[in-house]
Amino acid sequence: MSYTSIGIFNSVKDWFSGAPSPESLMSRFVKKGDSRALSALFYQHNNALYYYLLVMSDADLAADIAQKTWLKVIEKKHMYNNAGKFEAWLFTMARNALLDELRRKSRFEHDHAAVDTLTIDDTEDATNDDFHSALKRLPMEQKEAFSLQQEGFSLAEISHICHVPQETIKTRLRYAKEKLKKALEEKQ
Amino acid sequence: MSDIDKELSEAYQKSKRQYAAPSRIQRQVIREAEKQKPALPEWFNRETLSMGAAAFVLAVLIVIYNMSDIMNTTNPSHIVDVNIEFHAYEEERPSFDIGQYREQLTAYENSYRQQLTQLDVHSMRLARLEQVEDGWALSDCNDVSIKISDRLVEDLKSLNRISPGLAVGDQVQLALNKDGLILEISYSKAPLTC
Repeated sequence: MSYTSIGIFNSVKDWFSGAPSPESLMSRFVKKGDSRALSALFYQHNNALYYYLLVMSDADLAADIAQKTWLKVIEKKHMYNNAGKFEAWLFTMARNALLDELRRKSRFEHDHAAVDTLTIDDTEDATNDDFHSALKRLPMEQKEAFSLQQEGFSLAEISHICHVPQETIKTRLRYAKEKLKKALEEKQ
Repeated sequence: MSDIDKELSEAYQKSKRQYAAPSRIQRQVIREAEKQKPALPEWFNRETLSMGAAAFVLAVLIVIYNMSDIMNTTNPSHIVDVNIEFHAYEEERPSFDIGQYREQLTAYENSYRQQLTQLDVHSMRLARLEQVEDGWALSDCNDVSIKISDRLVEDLKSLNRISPGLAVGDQVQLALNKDGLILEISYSKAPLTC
C-alpha cells in the first residue's frame, strides 16, 4: 500500500470506528508533528508499558526505560513502519532498551536470546499484592510472555518481540499460568 | 477464554491499576513532544495537497462529463408557470413577499454550504445578469426573473462559486443540484436561447 493509501485507509477505518487507532495517531505524529496525537498515544499505552517493565525489573528502572522508550518514539518516529502495529513497535523498543540496560549493569552476560538468565532484585516491589508478587517471582521469560499476552499481543507477535518460536512462547505461557494459578489458589 | 485464563487476566489488570506509572514520565515526554510542533500549517503536507488536487481534477472531470447533457436542459418543468424565483436562505423568507401566484421561493438550509464543496451538478440554466446590487437578479430565456439574496451571493463568492468579474449584461450559466439549488454561477459564451 502506498503512503497516501494507508493514510486514507486509516482515516476511513477511524471514521467508522469513531476513535483514531494507535496507527493513525502515530501516522499523524510522524507526518504532521502533531503533539496531541503523541499525547493520546502516551495516555493510551504508558501504563501498560510501565507495568510490563515493572514486572520485568524494578520501579526505578521501569520508569527510566518507559521514559527512554517514549523519547525514542519521538526521536525515531521516521523509522516507524506504518504497516506494523504501533504497540508491537513500542514494546519491542522498550524490551530492547531494558535488556541493554540490564547488560550494562552487568546483570546479564549472555546474548539477547538468553533472557531466561536475567535476574534482578525486585522483591521490594512485591510486598502487598499476592498476584503481583507471584508474577514477579516467575522466571523472566515466563513473566515476559505472560505480560505481553495480557497486553493483547498474539502468539505470533510475542514470538516476534521475544525472538523465539511460537511453540517456545506457548510453553512459557503454560508454565507461567500453572504457577500463577497455583499462587491464586494458595491465596484463597 | 477459560475460567482460569479469565481469572488471571482480571488479576493482572487489577494489579496493573494498582501500580500506575509515575507522573514524571508524562512531564518529560509531553515536554519533548511539544518541541515537535511543525513550522508549516498542519494541512500543508503532501497527503492533503495531493488529495486536494485529486478532488479538484475529479470535480472538473465530472462537470465536463455532464456538460453535453446539461446544456440540453433548459428549464425544469416545475417553474414553467412561475415568473419570479427567489433563491435565499430559509431564515430570509420574511424578506420576500411570497404569496403571489407566479412567485416561488427556493429556500436554502445552512447545510447547503457543505454541498458547495462537492459540485454535484444536476442541471444547468442559462440566464442574463440584470442586477448586482442588493442581491442579484437574472432573467432566463423564458423571461423568468431569478432573484438571489445578497447573503447567498456572498456565500457563493466566499466559496469561489461565482466567476470573478461578472457584470450586468453578462450571460451566465447556473449550475443546479437535484433540488434546484444554485451551486455555481459562471460566465457563459453560449447564446441565450431556449
